[in-house]
Amino acid sequence: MATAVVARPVARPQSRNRDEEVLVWPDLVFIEFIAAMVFTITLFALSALMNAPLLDQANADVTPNPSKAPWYLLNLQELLLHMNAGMAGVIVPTIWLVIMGAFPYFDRDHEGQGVWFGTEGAVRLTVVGSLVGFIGTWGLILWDSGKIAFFLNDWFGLSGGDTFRFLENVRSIQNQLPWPEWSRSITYLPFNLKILDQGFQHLDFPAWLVEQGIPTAVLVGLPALMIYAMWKLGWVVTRRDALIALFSGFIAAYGVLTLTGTAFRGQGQELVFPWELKVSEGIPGQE
Amino acid sequence: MAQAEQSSPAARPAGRIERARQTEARKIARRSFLRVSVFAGLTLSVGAMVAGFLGFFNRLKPTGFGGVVTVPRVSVPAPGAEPSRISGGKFWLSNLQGAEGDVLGVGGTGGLLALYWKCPHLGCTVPWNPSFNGAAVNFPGVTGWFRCPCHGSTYSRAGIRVYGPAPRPMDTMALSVNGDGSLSVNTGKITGGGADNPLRAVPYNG
Repeated sequence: MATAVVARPVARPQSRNRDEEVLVWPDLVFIEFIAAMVFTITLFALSALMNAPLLDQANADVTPNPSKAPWYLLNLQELLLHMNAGMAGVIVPTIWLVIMGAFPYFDRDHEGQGVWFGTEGAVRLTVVGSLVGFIGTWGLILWDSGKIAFFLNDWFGLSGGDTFRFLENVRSIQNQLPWPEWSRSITYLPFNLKILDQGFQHLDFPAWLVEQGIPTAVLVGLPALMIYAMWKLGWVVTRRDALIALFSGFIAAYGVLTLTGTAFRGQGQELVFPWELKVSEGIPGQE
Repeated sequence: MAQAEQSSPAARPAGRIERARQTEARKIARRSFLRVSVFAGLTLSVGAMVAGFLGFFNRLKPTGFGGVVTVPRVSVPAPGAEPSRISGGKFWLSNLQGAEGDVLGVGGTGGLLALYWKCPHLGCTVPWNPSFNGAAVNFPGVTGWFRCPCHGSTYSRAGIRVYGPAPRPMDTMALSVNGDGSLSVNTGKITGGGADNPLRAVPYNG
């Protein structure tokens, strides 16, 4: 390595003459400053003199249906449909970003760094990991939207009746099971903390299970299960193998979430086909 | 000019001193004027800010949303009819017929319910969807639901959450029936939604 550096000396930049240079300060910066001032003052004067014709766009009582974030945030919005808001919006993205940042500390092997598909089973791990992420995410979305139960009934005439109605989506586990009354309000603090909301002092177990418990179990458990199965099969040998499978699965899941939120969510965030998707402006009487 | 100054040498010095004195007086006057203006301006703007801040605490007689909103008799839906949208109070007025809307069976007997239209999940305005079929959210046979445009939380006519990420049913507002059949809805008195929403309904015979 060292000889390679010596063999190809880096060309040193030639020093220029002063008259070949363009002054940035004050010439350029001053022009930019004047332009910025002119635009600021013009916009300020315009906004003071004229009302923007926002009309119903600025009417807080009017909500378009569906209401969607910019497309690059629709993965998060899709996540928000299925679990506790704080979890989907803050905790899950933060923890995942930290985990991704920790990848190089977990895989400290220098060999084969920067090489695409550097390990023996890398291509297989990438393909299978992506497929698991793709199918798994779609499966979970279809289940939580109630579509799996709907199509099982609609296409195959299979119905669990009232007995298995609780399996139709995640919320029905809370609504359709005969939870005992005490489980809806479990006091876990030995004293009464008045500054806390009642909901924080008493654990509503079915609600916790549906909004936090099951989503956490799925988000942690399914990738862990995938890695474990691949390790048992002998596909995952090194830490890098595990990370390749994990990251491929993440990219697929992320893509599915973005795509679903963008193209498959209609009015009321109902799962629809992209060609059935239409947006209502939400103006009362014109829905 | 030079000639004029020479012609009255006695008057000049006195006039010059007087002028200088007046100039000096004017200078001080200008300085104190500026000082007074600065402090007056400062007091005015700070006062406006304080007044604006205190304005937030003016809960004596709020009108419109936040205060008591009167719903005329003609705007009250018939029992079992679709909920009406009361924009001034930001709520849906539901007239439940019997156990209608009581989809989880807590023993509702019908009546009027003012449901705050802000979704208890993340605050979107929840629209009424008259054609939405309950089969999609596990309640076959029930048509017409509130369904949030942002994250799909679904509520019955009584605001009971049956689907989606919302942490609780729709919030309700204190409602009372006046003698002439109109309603007074206190939009400043909002109670967090609960499983007992259908029991909060107020009987109405107007």
